[in-house]
Amino acid sequence: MKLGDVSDIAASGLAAQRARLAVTASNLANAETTRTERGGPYRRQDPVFAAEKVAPAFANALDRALHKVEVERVSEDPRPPIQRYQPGHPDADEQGFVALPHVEIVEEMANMIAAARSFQANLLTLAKVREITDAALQIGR
Amino acid sequence: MAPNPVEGLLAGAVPDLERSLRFRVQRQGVLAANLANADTPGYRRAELHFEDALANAMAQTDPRHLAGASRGPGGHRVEIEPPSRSPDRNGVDLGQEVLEVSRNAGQFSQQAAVLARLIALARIAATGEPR
Repeated sequence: MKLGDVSDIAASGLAAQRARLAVTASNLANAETTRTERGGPYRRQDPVFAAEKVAPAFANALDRALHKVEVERVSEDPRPPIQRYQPGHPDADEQGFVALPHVEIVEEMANMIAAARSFQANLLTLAKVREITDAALQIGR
Repeated sequence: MAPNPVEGLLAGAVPDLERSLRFRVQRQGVLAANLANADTPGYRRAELHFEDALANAMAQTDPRHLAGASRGPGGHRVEIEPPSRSPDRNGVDLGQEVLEVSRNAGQFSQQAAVLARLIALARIAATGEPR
């Protein structure tokens, strides 16, 4: 394992959290969207994170313990749309109900804060890698 | 003839410091992986434990034997913690991990500084003059 591998792992964390933030932003932006390409209201989405091995199976115990993170796929929230009574809405049905995405603003905000925290944590790893590099370069001075 | 003090200084402390510095870099990798996977469901936290020469001698009865499966380069023990009982089965505590990353890097810096001073001392002893 090299110090560069540490940066790669932290970078994978940054990318994953950034993707999570993007999905959350999409959910928030489409909280009231009633029309989508495949018809019906927007469906809330969630990124699925998966640990990805850095080294092959025959590597030493340390390298085998190292995992990057990747967004395996984006899953769709199975919760049914919320029915709101709004007869004037162009997408209301005969009874006057509009199907709206099941997006909870509070839930998305909490998700966003958690993503930002994790992003910062990975950023800290990068800063510390730099600190280690600087300290190592001082040895020969 | 009395043993050369500079030689003793370098022979004793430098290999130990080097080993410790290597360990710090390796541990940083393990901690970075934990942090990157802090939100991965089912991820099991990993930890690297510093093992001294005695522990290695106990684990490896013959130097020709292969090192144990749970040992990384340098003979340090890699531990994969059991699955967590939290709802997402993830055993990483972000705050604790951030603390460990900072502490580990700090220890690297300290030990690197000591090594740098040792080398500076050796240089003074060898040349008879501070640089």
